[in-house]
Amino acid sequence: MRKVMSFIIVAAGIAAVSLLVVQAKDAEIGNPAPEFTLSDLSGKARALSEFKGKFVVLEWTNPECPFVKKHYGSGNMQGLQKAWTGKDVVWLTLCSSAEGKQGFYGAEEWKKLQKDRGAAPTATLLDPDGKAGKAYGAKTTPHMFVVNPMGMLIYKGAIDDKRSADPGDVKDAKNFVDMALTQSMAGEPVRFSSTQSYGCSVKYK
Amino acid sequence: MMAVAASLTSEAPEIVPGRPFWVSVHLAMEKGWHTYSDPPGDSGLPTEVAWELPPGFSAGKIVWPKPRKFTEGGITDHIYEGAVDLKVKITPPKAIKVREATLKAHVKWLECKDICRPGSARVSLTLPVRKAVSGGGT
Repeated sequence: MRKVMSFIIVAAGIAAVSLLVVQAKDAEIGNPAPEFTLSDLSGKARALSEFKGKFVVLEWTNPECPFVKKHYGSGNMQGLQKAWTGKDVVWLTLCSSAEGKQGFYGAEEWKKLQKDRGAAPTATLLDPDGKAGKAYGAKTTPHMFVVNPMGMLIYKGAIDDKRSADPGDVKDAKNFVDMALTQSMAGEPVRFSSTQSYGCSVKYK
Repeated sequence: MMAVAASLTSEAPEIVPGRPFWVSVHLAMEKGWHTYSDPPGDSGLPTEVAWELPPGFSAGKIVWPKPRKFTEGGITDHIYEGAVDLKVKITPPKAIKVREATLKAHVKWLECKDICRPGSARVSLTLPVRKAVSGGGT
């Protein structure tokens, strides 16, 4: 009997470990969006759970990446930020560049950068150890995620369907973030909930 | 200053009307830099070739050589380093009046090291056209 018990305990242990492994995988659509706590540019700790009850857009960025420049140079990203935060959506811009890598800046430099490019997110969050980025499986800049008011992930992937670094492609592109928010707010299913993102690699450490 | 130099070469020394032939868009990359295959993997962008061909000529799709899978920070990319030949089949028309034909292409790529930047070049290649043999068959 004792042997059987110890077998069960070992089996349970293995099951628990494999569960942990499953949870360590990228964030999945229809599952709770991974929680994170990161510093904003004023040094304040901000958690995703703070925004429960609202739609939240997560935007991974690196100001020097040509794909990010495409969407800021054309005014596309700032336009989306202004339009959706105007509709009570929370927009969080995250940077997972590690110290010493492209796109890593201190909070003061970030403040200036965001002002210079006319960015208007709810908050800019710094993730230099890459923990939040890896929890979401953020691979590119930009890489976009949408969380619904219940805290479930409803979109992950590209910002739009024109996989290029050419600002001229923005006007004819189908914007997946716009679509996900519009459809979800209308009570419709999100038609494209998972797409392949495009851009520069996230500069993790 | 770009880290990649593009050129256009042909496997055939001349164009035979109606006979498809292979050309290569050759990308030579500086040490440490890479370009992307199609699909590019988790990040990056495939190289694009936009052709400007004489009337009646057509170009096929790029035949992508097997890329190297490169993983860093959990991000896997399909890349080329050093040099790569992107082969494209060109089909000339059955009747060509000119003595030589110039193939032109606008090549666009994303070149990355620890950082990425877009690069582009216009390449061209002029080849003689073999004269139709009078009284020749089909």
